[in-house]
Amino acid sequence: MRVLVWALALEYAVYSEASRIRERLIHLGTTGWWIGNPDPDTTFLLPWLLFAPLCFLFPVSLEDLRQWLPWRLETSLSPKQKAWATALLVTAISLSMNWLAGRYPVPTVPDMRFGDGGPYIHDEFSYRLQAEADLAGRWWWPGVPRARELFHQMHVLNEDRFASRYFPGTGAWLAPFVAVGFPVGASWLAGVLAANLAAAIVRRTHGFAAGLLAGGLVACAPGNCVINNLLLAHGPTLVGIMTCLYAFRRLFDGVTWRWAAVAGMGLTLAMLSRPLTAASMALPFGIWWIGQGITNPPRREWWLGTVAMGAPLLVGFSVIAWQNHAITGSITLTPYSQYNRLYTPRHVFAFREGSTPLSATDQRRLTEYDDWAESLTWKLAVTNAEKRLKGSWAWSLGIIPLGMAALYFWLTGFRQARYDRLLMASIVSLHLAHLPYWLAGIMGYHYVFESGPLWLMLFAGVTVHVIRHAVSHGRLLVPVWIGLGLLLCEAVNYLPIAPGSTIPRVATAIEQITHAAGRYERFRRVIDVAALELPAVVLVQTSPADLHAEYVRNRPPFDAPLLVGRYRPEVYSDQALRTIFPDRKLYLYNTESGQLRPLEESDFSTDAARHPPEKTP
Amino acid sequence: MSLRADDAHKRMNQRCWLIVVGVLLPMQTLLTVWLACRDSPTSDEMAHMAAGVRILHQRDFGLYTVNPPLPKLLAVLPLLAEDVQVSWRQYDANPALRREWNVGQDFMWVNGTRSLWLYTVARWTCIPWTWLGLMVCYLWAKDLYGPLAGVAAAMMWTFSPAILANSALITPDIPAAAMAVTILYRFRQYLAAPDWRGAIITGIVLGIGELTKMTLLLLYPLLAVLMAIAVLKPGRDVAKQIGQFFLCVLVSVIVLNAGYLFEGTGATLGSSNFYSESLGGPRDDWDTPGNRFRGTALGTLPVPLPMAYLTGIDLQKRDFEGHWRPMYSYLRGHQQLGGWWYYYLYCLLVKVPVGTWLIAIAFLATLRCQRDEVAENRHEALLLWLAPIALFAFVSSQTGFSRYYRYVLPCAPFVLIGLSRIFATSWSQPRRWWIRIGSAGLVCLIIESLAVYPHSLGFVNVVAGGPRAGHWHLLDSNVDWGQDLYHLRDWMNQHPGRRPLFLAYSGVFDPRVMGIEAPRPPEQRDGQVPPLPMGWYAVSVNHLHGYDDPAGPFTYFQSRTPQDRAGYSILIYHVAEMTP
Repeated sequence: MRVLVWALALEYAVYSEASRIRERLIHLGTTGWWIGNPDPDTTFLLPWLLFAPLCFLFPVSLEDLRQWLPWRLETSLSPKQKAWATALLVTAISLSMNWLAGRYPVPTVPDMRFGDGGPYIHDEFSYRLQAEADLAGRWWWPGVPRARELFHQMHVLNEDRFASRYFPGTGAWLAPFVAVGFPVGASWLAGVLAANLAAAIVRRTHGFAAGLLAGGLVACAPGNCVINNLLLAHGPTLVGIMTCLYAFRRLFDGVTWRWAAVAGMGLTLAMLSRPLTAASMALPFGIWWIGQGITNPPRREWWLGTVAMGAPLLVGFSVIAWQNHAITGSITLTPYSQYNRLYTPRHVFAFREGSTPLSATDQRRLTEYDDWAESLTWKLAVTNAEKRLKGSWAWSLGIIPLGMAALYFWLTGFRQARYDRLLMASIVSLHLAHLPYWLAGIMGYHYVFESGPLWLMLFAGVTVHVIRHAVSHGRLLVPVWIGLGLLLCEAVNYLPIAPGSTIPRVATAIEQITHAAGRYERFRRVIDVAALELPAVVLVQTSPADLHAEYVRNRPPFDAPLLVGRYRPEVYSDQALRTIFPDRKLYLYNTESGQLRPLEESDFSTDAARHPPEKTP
Repeated sequence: MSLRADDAHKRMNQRCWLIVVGVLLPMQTLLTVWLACRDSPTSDEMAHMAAGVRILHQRDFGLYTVNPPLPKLLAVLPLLAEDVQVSWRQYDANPALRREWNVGQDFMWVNGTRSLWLYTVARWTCIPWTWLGLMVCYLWAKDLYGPLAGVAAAMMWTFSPAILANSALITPDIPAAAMAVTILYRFRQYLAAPDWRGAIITGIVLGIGELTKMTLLLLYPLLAVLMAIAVLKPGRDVAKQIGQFFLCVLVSVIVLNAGYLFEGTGATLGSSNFYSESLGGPRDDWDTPGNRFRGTALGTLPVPLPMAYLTGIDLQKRDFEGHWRPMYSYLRGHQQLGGWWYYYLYCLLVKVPVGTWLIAIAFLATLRCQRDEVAENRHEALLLWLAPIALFAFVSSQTGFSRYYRYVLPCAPFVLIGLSRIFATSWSQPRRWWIRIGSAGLVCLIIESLAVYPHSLGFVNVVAGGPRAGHWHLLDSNVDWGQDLYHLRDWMNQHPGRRPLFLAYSGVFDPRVMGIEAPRPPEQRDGQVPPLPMGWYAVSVNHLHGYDDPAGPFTYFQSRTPQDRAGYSILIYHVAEMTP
């Protein structure tokens, strides 16, 4: 079995490297340096894989090692001490890695660190707006008073009521940290909690070493560390899911209403943040829970547990209904659905949504962003699923190690712990739930982001099993080999192994996420140096290249000296704009040329717009 | 042996085997795979590739007949999975015209930059030959001197620069070396327990070996001699063993013919057209074929060999006789028509790493100490040493030209196995000084080899001045086989400002295919150095010494100091101002 797993991994690595060399030869006329433009998943791991047979076959026993090592191998810590030691270590690793990811430079903005800038993604503005609404004790603000069509913001309902389109959990999670001026702290906290919960779950199934490994790996996962520096829903969702899974792990040991309630609370938190993710991941465990009720004669504990689990969910549903009613006027229509229907009708979970007839005159539709959506076919759905699977492996540790662990797990599924099989089912369920969506996601996987820690938990279990087996058979090089592989993976994820030739995976993610930051920064600088006549409205003329770029970030109540809107001559002529905004000076900013000029003086332009001044230290 | 000692011996055997399979084999694979990506297609590979593709597509063995078909055919097999374009525009049915390089160039043009990938894949397919050599080196050395010696022999095979460099090419030299040692190893096993089955297996192995390189024809008389010595031992069934030997030869000939699909097998000797003096007879015009057997009794005899094989022998002989084209030989700055008997000895001096020399010195020093053992095991010593000595002597005797160190590569595995003897120790024996020297030699060999990698083809040992000084000792496939175009391309990428670039490249592959657009530098005529425009000049060391071209149009660069280099075979000069 292990030979098959190894052979398939080797085959994948060889194929990938051969393709890389082929491309370079055909397109560049030379291969260049071996590690020039490497594939982070295979270039460095191919040699590692080649030495696997040696490590699995070369006999070095524990007795040999004891003779050579001057220190004792055994630990005298009690289980409780071990648990605390694990928690401290995992917390320290998680905080350090999140901080480290935040220290990477933003390539498009000189002198900016990833953790110091932001928000970078338009979702973040919406979540932050929701957190601010929570802090203000409200669900919504009154809508934009004048020329609303010019002030549509991404993922924000801009009708009579101005509100984030998202479910209420994320805003609530962010709110305390927004209040203290450290919003990203919410994501860091989520990262720490998720890693510790992963460690605790795996420790209960596979022991202390596996728990420590799982916690450490979740804390180091490059995708997690990047996402933990953003204001997204993944943090609270993951915490909720992991809490739920931990509670279920306890329920496996014995049904009690307390742990059922904890499971319900965790699931509620996840549901209030990303409902589809929460539902799909909890589904296998829910089936198991119902199965327990059916196969065993219903006991009092089970009924009590069901009630305890259901109560928080009911509360959660009530909160959602309240939010729906407050923003959309209907308890069944979510702001999310309403936003999709009005602004981005093609961004929906469905096949062939490209054929949906769209109203050409609908002035709310965010045309460029909406048209970005592809018509989903089964072929595209499968391709996306493959991308998400590979992405979840790549951004958690690496395609090769997690692929090997997954393959080993699938091949030996009948021998694996039932709880682990349910974890695998959760992963599958999450992928299936996102199958009918046309986009793979940010970094190729963010819709299945929450599956990453589950893969790492399974990996830790399988790895410790393989190590124990190897050590018991006198193959002490196996843990060394696995350790080297893990170090190599993390090195590829965080370090430029060959400076100038290789880019750490984390830096690649940051480059992808912050690609629009340079344009925002240029816009900000142009505004700063242009000496605008206030109050003013700057209308932004975007290009198709600005697909995700979002310059419109006004905050209610929309009476700031400077408002930024979209330039939409098809909706409002220049003359009409002057009538609507008689009290404000109008400017036009072209994102392509970087030029800013008063709307009524077409020959005017600022040199600063064309040549933003160098930032002085 | 006590149970405990037996157990320890087993453990040691197992560990040594694992080191060979788990460390040396992957390491050699990695080194060879990458080397295959870093050396641009060498001159002869162009011809081998064309000939292999010709066999694959047309079932025609008439291209590059001086080399048997097996290595090139195996090399191009993966090309079946690729969209390969072919062109036979320059093909000619007359093998004496030697159109393989022209057809090779056509192959390059019709496939464009994809040909670079095709060459790489074909090279990778050749790597199992070197695995075979590695394994046999280990097994034979282990059988003779114990597992540690086996590891040492395998290590020397893995890191020897010449082995490494040639393992990454589509040429028959490593296949021949690997098969030569495999044949002898198999023959040794047969002699240990002679039977009919063993004779057939040995015949098959011998036949496969003969399909790699014609030099291995020498193994027939060598095996006959070894067999004769073996059967003279008391207690042997002479008649039976002679019968088995003939069966072995018969099987090998059948395998050899099968490798050519029995094309032309059994044609009479008088019906062929020969171009060499040896087979065609003396005549005035060497471009006109002859046949010294025609009209004689011998001429009526059917030849049990494929026609293309016979043609190959004839054309190879013609080359050595100097009747094809002027074949210049180069040694230490001196060029002449005709070679030197000591050429290959000199090659050993400069091309064999100092580490290997250290081991060899330790080996020679211990010969006296171990003569009793040698005397006891004379037949083993003969099996091991007769073949390399005979091969070396034979190749050295062909003084029509002396150009290629790789011709003696088939001797290498035997010598490495022999040298590994100094690592033969029983467990109770204290460590001797020669083992320390041998170990130091191994370390030295690894360092030397890796220090030059991936320019292993141009390796010259430190004592001889290192690879930078290689062209002052030897040329052609020993240091410049046209392998450094990728490095030149990289140099151009790294130095985009160093233009214009002029290129005097001595290989067959056209640099324009890989995007190197550079005119040739002005040529000197009648010893007059031409005016040189300002710019950068990349000059192959073959051209630097006027190799194969007595006019030496670019030898005037010898008076200049190179500013840089691409690999070790292309020197780069800078002309800062227009010279008069």
